[in-house]
Amino acid sequence: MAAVRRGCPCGPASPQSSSTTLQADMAKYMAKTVLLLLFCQGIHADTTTSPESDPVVTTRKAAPKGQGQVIIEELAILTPQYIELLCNLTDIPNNPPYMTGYWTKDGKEIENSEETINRNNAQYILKKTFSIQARDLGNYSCVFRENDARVTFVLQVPVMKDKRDKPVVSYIGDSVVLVCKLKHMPNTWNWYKANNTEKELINVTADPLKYKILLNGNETKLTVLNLTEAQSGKYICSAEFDIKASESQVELKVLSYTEPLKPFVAIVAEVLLLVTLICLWEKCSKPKHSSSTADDVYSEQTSKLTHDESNGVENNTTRQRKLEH
Amino acid sequence: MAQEKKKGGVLPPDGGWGWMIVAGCFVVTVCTRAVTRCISIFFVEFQMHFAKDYSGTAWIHSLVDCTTMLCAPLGSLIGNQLSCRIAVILGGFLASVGLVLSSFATSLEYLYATLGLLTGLGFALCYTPAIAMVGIYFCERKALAYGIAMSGSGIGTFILAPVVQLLIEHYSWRGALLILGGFVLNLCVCGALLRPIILKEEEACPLPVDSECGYSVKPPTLNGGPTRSAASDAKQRCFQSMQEYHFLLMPDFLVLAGSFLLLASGCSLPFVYLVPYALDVGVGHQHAAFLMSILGVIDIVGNITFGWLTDRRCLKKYRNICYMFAVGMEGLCCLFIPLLRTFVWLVPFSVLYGYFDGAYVALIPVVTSDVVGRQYLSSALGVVYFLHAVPYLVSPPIGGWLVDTTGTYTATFFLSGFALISSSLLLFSVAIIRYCQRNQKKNSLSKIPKLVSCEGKQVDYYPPKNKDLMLIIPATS
Repeated sequence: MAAVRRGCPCGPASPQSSSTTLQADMAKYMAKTVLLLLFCQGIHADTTTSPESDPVVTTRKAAPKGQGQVIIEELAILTPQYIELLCNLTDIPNNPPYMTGYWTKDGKEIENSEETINRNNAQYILKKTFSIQARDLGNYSCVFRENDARVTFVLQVPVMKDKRDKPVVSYIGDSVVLVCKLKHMPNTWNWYKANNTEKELINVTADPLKYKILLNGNETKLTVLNLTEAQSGKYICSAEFDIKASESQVELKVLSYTEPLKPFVAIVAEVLLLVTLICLWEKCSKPKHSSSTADDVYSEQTSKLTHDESNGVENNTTRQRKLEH
Repeated sequence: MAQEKKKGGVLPPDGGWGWMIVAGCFVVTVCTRAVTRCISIFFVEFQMHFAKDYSGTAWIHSLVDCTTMLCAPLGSLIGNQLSCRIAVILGGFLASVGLVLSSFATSLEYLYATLGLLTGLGFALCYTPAIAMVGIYFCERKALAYGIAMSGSGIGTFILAPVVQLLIEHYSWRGALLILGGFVLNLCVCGALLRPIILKEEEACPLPVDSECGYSVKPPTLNGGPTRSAASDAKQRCFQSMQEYHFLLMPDFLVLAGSFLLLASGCSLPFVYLVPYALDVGVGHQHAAFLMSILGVIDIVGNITFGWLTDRRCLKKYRNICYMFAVGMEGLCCLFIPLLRTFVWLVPFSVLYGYFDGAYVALIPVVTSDVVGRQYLSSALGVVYFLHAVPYLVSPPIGGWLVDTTGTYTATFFLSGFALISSSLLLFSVAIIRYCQRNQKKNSLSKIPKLVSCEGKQVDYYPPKNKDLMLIIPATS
């Protein structure tokens, strides 16, 4: 059993299989919405290929024991709603007249969810409507007993993917900007400072000189001004949705200026040392040069005389004069 | 001091202290080119802190590059007037001060001034004199020495990029800039290494001089000799005085300058647009970054191996041709990019392009010194890098505009490829013309000029590269 991206027709097109739109009713708290997700069996685990399935291949994939084809679909839930989840199993060899399937939530089988599915044009469709509230968010899976393959729907509030696992570093007296971004727009953003296990809401109006919060739809920026050491710690940005809040945390470290100054001073000392050494070496090697160049000069002079007699004497004298200096 | 000059004053050492000069130039290249490239790692931090967008921060990198190149003639001027050593030490100090000051930045404009202008100026003062010094100290193995020295930018970027990233994580961008300022202070150490040397020809000595580079040598005179050497003794300069900028009027140099302008227009585009193009055709982020790493590493390999290759006796006469070949091949690679649409095909492109890019970079100072001669090398290099400045700055935005208007990267890469190929063709056509002219003259001349090689022991035939300035020296044995 494989999942195919929505919008892809599979096999004999049925009304349900072709409609792959996600409808969500945002207006009311207990509004009824029907979410139809169609899953067809594809050739590969890659979900974007069209399902002109090769039976042999899919059977092979579903066959290995303990290694069912596991498809994971992530769904972002913003408001409480009813969702219908549908799994469509195709291309089973032997084509038994019926199969049994059940649903699990977070790994545990949901009571009374087991159904017998009759074969319908070589397809087995298992569907169920769930009412999703804040406490109902989790991983829902449809499982066919005869087959190891399963599809898992991850129902959760939008999660901030680009988390920064390294702490943000700044200096005393400086300012720092902390950013949180999401794909979906929340109702509002809130910032908290974590003190051990407690969260303390950051109120800009109470501390206008210390904090500035910018709310910009999909992203929010917290600017902390005039940093002190005490302001190090964890900051939590919380995106409030109707159903639940999505949180992400950033750690802030405030250093004093002496921290980077230490390597800097070390490098400057090394530079001064090297420059002194090089100058000393150059001065020391000068006397060595004077003794060796004398020999060079004399050997040069003998060759010079053969080349240019007229200048030879002159140059000899100039060279000798220089040696005396 | 006179004795020391005498020892070095015979011939270019081609070794000995020369290798320390190469090491110094290597570190200079690391501290200037590699640090400039690593500045872009700070952009994300600047954007977050100053709440500006990418284009605002990208100006910093452009400013540093621009200032470094535009002020290159100033660097060679100071190197001529004072000494290379003082120029590099001064430059190192300025660059370091710029970086340290920028760690206290309160606004993006402040960063433009400290990081962009001050540090850029410091780099400019270091870059040209250090490269010129390598050319002074080496003759036989000049290309290899330059290859090793120039590989500093590749190796430096390779090592510095993760180090800078680590510094930013631990100390945030302020601390990282401060420590980088300390690191750049090592330029002063490199400056201390650049021991001045007076070469034989400056003392107007009658011994067979090295005219492989083909510059003019004053015939030894009775009066000229002692006074010139005394003047050199007194000032301890490494080059001729600055008034001799007349190499600028040399036709060969003008052609070379034109080809450099075209080269600089084309060479920076693939570096900027390879990753966006790769992402556009569907290559993953990791693979695209890997392409750039391949480019960087092969660049280093190209620097050193091509330098070593063109030092071989058989290839030395044809160094110009090798340079044209490297640039032409690079242009050809660029023209093929639009056909390469998968990662598997882009890897050989990266390898080839990186290799030839490293190759021509190592040869730029060599080709320049072949044309203008050792005396004017410093000033000429200043002018060469100055010519690089404006095309470097202007071509990436033009490439970006082409991408935006045409919707594909084809036009940009074609622009780059054609610029590189025309740069190579310009030199090639002039070389052909010279060859034909020389053949005509050869038939009319009775005596063929014999040029002496670097060691003064063997006599080699070299096609005169610079007919305007070459003095025909009677063969000595």
